Amino acid sequence: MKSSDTTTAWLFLAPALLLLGIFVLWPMAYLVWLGCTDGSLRDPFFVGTANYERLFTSPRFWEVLINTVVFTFGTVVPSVALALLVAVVLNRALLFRGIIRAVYFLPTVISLVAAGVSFRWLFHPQGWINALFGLSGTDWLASPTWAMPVLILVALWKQIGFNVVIFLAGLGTVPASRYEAAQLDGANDWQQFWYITLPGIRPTLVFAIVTTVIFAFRSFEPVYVMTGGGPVNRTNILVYYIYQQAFGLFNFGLSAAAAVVLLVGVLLVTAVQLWVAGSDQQD
Amino acid sequence: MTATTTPFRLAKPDTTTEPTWIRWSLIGTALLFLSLFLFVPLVVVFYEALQKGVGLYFAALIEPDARSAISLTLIAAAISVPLNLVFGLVASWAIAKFEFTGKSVLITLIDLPYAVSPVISGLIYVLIFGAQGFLGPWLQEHDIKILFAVPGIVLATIFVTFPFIARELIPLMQDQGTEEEETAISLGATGWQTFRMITLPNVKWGLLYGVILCNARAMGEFGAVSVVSGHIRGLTNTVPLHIEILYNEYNYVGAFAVASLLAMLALVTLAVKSLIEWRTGLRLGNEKL
Repeated sequence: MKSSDTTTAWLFLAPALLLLGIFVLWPMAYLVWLGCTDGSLRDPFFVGTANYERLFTSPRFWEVLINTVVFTFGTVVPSVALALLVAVVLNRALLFRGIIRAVYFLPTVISLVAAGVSFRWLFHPQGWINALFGLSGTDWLASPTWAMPVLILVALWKQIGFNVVIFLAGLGTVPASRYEAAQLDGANDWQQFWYITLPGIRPTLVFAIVTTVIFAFRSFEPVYVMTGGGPVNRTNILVYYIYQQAFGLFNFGLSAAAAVVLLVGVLLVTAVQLWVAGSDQQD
Repeated sequence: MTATTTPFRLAKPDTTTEPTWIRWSLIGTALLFLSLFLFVPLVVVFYEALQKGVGLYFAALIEPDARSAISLTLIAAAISVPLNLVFGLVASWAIAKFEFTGKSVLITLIDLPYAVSPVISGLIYVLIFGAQGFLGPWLQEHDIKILFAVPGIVLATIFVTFPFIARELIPLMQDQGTEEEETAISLGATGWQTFRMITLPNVKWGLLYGVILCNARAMGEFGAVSVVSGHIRGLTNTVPLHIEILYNEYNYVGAFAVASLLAMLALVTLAVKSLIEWRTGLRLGNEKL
């Protein structure tokens, strides 16, 4: 179809775009603007970068950023590495692929709240984990040492199956002839993985990493349902901090500024993905 | 963000050299370990929900606050899913079948809700529609209630589930090209006839796939809805919010009984999804939730 279709296409899209503008784009622009005000909603006063200065000079905010980085690394590294390992192993099982995909997709379609209360119950002082290991009264979620690892476990639970499914799809695109050639040359399993599988699934790998990073950046439910950011702020990650600033302390300006920081983080990660995808296409 | 949309190649030759039994025990262990891990929360939900007997389980589901939460969740999904369906069809149709300037911008816009945390989308609506918010005074004057009421919950749900259906349909429609439609139009079919008899039947499975994933998310969304709902019992609590409240009140049977509804929804969604994959023989679109 011709470029004269441009008008037709946009006219056709107009009602949908109008709604998108009213309910998505304009509100987001408003949020960015609010981040540069004192946050009084009725009569916002422009304060420039004051909120950002306040954020980045606040030890509490740095603590939150560090928690977010720990949570993100703790989620991304094992969920990507384990998922890749599992996918490589499962890629050999052709029979059960449908069932495998269904099983691994379960955490993706179940509400995080249902899962959150389950995990909270599992790690309750009188919960299943303590019963299983014969520990009495260990309160995992109230422990400054263990609360974060438990939250990471929930994030892993949510994300690992999704990554397995993504990797299985990626592995299916590596041409079988490359493996045959490598085997003829006497390459062992590890060499085949390193020199054929890994380069072959590079776009999938980048996609899985980026999706998991964004998932971790956006995480809220596990913290809200399981720890409330505690103990002693140990599990307070960025989205929860934004929530607290807005609805606990009514610092709307600061909260909006922190939301912009998060948005910039997500956009940077997405930009990295696009850049890698672009350089792949050039190759 | 682009998704991996490549369909599975089932014919993958044997690329390993170790004995069969080692391979199968490896596969078995991997499967068993991860499946156990993935199913544990589900087991907890059903076990704890039914632990005190079936009677209490059903009692927890039919008490008024639970019934109100269930109906509110159904209403929110019944409004947001069809709206996203219409939008998804229109947007993916325009993107796949037309060449126009600004296409990539449109694709980015559709993806935007994936980049924004649901809590922040809720926060945005509070800042705009709240009593102290940008449109607050105007809404009060005209006696329109958006926040802490059904419209706010629906809006938040739409925002979060916005890309689901479009994202499924775009790659599918792009794959199918425009030949069939062009033939139909050259044979004298009207635009609507072409859409109804060619385009729609061609994407019906992809559409269903997008709808069930969209629906699962719409009914299970917590973050965005929690911020705009105000947690008013019996009025603005959806199922996920109700679960959290019951748990915090130490009503574990109630919390897990209501949670079992979401668990069953997940199982049904998976079953339908697998059925579609089996029927069509290919993996559709992307699978972000």
